Amino acid sequence: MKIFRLTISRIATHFVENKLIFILFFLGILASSITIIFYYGNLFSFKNGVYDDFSEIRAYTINLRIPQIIDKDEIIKMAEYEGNCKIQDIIFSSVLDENGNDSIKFDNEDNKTSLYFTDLTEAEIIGFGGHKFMIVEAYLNNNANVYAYPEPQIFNEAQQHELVAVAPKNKPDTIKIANKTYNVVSKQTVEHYIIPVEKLFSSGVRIAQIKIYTENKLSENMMYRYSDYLENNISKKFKSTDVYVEPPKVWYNTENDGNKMGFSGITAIAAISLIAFMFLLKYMMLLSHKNNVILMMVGAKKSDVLKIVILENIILVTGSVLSAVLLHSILYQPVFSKVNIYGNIVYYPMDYLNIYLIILLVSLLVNIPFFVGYYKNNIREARNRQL
Amino acid sequence: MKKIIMLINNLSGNVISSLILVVILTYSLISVENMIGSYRYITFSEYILSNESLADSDYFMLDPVSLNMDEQYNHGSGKLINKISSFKGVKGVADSSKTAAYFRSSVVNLDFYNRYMTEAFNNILSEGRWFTHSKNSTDCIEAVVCGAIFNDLPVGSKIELAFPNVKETLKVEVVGKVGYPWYAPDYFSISDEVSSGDFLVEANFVMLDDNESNRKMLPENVEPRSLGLSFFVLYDNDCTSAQRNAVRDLYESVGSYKSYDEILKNTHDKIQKDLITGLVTPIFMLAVSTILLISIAVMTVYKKLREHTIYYLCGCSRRQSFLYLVFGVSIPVFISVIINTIYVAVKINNLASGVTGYEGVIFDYNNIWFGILYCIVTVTVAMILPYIVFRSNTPVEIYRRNHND
Repeated sequence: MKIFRLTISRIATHFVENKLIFILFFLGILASSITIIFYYGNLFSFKNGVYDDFSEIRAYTINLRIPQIIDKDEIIKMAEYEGNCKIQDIIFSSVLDENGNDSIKFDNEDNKTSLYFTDLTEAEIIGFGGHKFMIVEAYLNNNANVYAYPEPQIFNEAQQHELVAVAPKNKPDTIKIANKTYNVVSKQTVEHYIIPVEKLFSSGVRIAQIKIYTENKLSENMMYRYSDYLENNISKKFKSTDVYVEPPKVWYNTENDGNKMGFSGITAIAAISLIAFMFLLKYMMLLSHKNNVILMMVGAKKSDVLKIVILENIILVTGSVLSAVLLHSILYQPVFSKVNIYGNIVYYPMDYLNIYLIILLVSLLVNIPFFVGYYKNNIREARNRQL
Repeated sequence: MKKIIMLINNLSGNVISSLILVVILTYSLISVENMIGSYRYITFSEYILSNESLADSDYFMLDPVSLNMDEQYNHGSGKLINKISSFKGVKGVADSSKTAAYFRSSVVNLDFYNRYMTEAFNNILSEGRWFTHSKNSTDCIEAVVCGAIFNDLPVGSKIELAFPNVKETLKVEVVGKVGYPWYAPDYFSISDEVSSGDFLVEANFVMLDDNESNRKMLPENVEPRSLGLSFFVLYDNDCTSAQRNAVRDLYESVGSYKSYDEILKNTHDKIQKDLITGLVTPIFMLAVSTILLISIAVMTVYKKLREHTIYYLCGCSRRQSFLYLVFGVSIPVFISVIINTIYVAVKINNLASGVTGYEGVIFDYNNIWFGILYCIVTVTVAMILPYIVFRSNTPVEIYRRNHND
């Protein structure tokens, strides 16, 4: 407590005796802290939410190497997991020949179903496995806002029970699927044909791919657990060599890479801007050298003096960062939210605490040489320097 | 030499801070220059598009996903353009056919502009005139040139263009020029957020009138082709909304479109968004560097005041002493300005020599004026506080006080 009181009184002395330096230090750390807070929100992908609205980070794809006739209800039951893993929609896809018949054979390595789902524009022209083909999709929940295109809800209530389809632009007004004619009700910027889910299952075509979209992005740990759960269940149903689950881990990796980059960026900005202003703090502390000599002469241990110096540093930095946090939170709505590079960034107390800890850590690291120098000085050297 | 040593000596107590100031200030000034370059480009492109002919037009974009390559090729060969042109109320389609040629051993774009293209992008011409659209009576074709490679050619000069694997050359007479920043129209963008900035490309271009006699002048194997994936459709003044909707229905069946007003709106939104997001980094950095510069100035005065009283006692005037301080503090700022000027000079030099091209920015020495002005103002402000400290005490007073300490 005595050390704390001493530190506070020394800070008050700094303010009274070196007002200009004190204010410049305060303003400098304030400006640096606001810069760091801004970049914290805009550089970290978990803050800027770049991936949050991205459907593919919520997509778990079950690829059937050999298409199968499947029971829709069984798949829905299988997709259900723990409470916080709710299903938004499931897309069932079939690969049909160019006449809309389920006649393509997938019996060898060169004719994998997955090949048909890659680079469709090229595949449609040259064909895979000697076939020209079409992909037909059906959305269990009628899209349910998974994609902005073709529409948040693809078919209206009546259309969901009719032989209707959504087709890519420049395609004919009717298509044939499993010998039934579907009227194209809309032509959109889509790559595949879309028909009502009821009609896809009643047509009896085999399903080649099932894509499950969760309502919310799962945590990384949960993503792996859910993926394993699907893999185990689907393997029980089909031969394990004929099926594999593709979790969205590539997007999690991209997000993690973004966060790592963000952390490096924040630390670099913090280090550069804080080092720049620490020379003011160092100057103020050097001015109080005389007091340190007196403290040591009346019996204070070197470690106690060092504690005072470190505490002084912590309190001054904390004061500036707290002011920056206060200023940022007050001005966030009218000013800072309008200049964000990404929209909808929300700062929580935990974020401010993280920022404070980063700044404090960097400021202590920056001052290590100064603290070491302080500790090494013995009383005679300190006194001589003062004289 | 003595003076230089005295100048550098002023920084001796603040070396690390001064180096950091150089880094932060240089980075902020470069950010500002890039931001100014982007702003100048988007406003320039908006000016190019603010044209009477385009005021009543739609920008049509073919949807490549819905077409296979054969279909795209067919549309590119003009089928779709001819179909749109045949609609009532349509004045014409601004389109160009492209091929490549050689000039001074460099590849240049050879673009054949139809008359609507020259109407639509009338504003790009900075010197001379467009084509007369008359039949060629000589062996020389009228051309408008654009790009660094043509910069030294005056209007009226005649040049020869070569073609790959062909012996024959094409003689053209320069009747018009597109000046710096050498941006010419080129359509590639297929986006809902298409803005004026998406219609220009910085490259070397030779633009010719697209007519039969000009095409005949080309060597046998050289055939200019229209990409035909996106283009402006110009409407007649008396085009009715029913006629316009009929054309738009056709667009919708194979692609999408944006009206001229929507493009302008997108442009304004983009300008606003780019300004806000582009200015944030420089503003934060400039705020930090301004406080840092003032801190360095104050610290320099505090640390060096004692030395300057000795200079005074040795015969150096107060004014001269203060000037040493000012110059000493200005050194990091001066270094930053020099680095920035070199950066801009290198960029301009690379652009002029054709080593690199730039998209979406206009770069010239005008971009650095803001930085220089900022530095002058900041150094002046930074020296006010030291000036007050310097003036409020006489050198003898300071010397006595320090001596007594």
